[in-house]
Amino acid sequence: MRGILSRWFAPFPRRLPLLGTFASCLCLATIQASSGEGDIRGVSAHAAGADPSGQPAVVAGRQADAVERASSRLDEERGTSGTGDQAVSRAGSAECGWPGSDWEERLPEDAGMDGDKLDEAVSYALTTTGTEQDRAGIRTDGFVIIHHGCLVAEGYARGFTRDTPHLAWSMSKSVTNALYGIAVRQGLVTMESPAAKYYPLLDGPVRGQITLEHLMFMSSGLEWSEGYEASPLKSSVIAMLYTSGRDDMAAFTASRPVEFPPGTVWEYSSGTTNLLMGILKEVLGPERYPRYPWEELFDPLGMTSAVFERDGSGTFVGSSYFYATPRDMARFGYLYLQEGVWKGRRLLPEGWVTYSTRIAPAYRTMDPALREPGMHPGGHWWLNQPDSSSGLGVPYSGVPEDAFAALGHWGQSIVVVPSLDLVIVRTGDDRDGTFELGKWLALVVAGVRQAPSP
Amino acid sequence: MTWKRAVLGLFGLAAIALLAWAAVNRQHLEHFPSIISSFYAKQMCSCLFVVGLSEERCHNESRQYVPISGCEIDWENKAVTVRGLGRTNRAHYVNDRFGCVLDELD
Repeated sequence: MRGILSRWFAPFPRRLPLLGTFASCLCLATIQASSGEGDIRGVSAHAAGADPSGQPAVVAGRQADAVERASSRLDEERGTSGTGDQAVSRAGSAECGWPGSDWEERLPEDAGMDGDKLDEAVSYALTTTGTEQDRAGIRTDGFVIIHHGCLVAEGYARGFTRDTPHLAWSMSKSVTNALYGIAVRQGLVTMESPAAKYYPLLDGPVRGQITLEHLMFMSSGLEWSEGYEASPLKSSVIAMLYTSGRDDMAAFTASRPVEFPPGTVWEYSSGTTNLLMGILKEVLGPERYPRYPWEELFDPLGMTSAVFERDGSGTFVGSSYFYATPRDMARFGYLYLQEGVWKGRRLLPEGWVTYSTRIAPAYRTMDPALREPGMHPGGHWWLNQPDSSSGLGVPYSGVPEDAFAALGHWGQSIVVVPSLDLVIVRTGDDRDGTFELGKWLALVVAGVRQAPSP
Repeated sequence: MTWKRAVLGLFGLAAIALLAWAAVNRQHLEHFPSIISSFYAKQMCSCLFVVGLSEERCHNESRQYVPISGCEIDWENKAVTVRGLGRTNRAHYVNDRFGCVLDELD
């Protein structure tokens, strides 16, 4: 039965050689790629401020031509004139800051990026292969790049638009991390506390030792099988989401046998995230809980597209079922870039981002043979940071070591790079691992590094 | 006919082993066939009513290697019922915040 559903939540699917046929790309404020029957054929560009839902401002036959024309349009809107290059040289402040009702848009050069370099990145992301029927190759649905708080590049394909919410899959886990940060700030929970204090189903001599921190750093010791292909019949995550666990995913997870002493072994477990969400439901109560993500997180950030699905008992499926547009996902990333502060208001407690973006303690000390390739696990975030003392290198050498990411099945990513003041969101439907996250990120980062300081 | 007895014996042992395995994995086996229709129903519901893609496109996103035998979309009540591997499962749209959820397990 191998491969019926493929592996679910592995952030780094196996890789195949790049089979890309270049479709088309642009590095403008907005790029709209329309998907034909097979691949992306027509690419149109909107200048900043153009009606996103209307007809494209420019239908690009050639990339450079479209860039120039769109730049000219931008000049007109700004009351400036001249070529695109001249408009760039007259750019004002590169700092856009927190977004209001929407992101402030800038040409990449205006925000201190190298537009040509960025073109390379965008063309990589918007490359598509095969047909819809094949579901093969790079299948980007959307991307958004935020630099210095300005939206510098954006693109959509395969029928998605800037207004289409996209399933975040396991990026939802990082949203769960934020909700816990807020609960900690409000004094509702402490991460060092035994989870059984809030969730009696976890009472017991061994499982009673599981703390919220163990759950956040995926080292509860509760038995879990995340992979589907290895043991389809016994996959815990499939059972949780689709069969015996779906009515109450937290209880399903809490009832798993204890496999390791709590805090000793890191094991990727979607169950622990839903257990955290179930615990939060107990803490907040039935009145407050259903409103909490909106009142405390999505509304303050202006994430109007947010959808958070629940299990049969009303617990948010924190492991898998959050949805938002890439622009709203970028808001979430920007909150972490700003260390938990939004427009001067602290949403996540001081130190929370640092706390959540350290390598899981149990991962550092566990048997290296049991570790996974790709970025290192933090507290419901993935990290590019090395740790020489435990033999962990830099996962993506072309990306700064301080980069951290929310990652989701089938190619979802929100990547935050504090040292470059950069947030990169990418949604997709990669079924075969052709798309290489490290390559995409390195290409975007190259566009930042090669530009002169703003 | 010693060899016949040996073969029968081997078959018998294999059958016992299979039954023992099935007994141990009873719960897994019981729920396993529901995966196909549950996954399809949930994906289809969310694709149509949360993401808002076309029906044809959503079928393509939801399909698995094991085909389903039927899919019924209730546009009025925003629900999707799918039959596959002998089980029927349904997912329905709740509202614009909570998206879709699976009904009781078949």
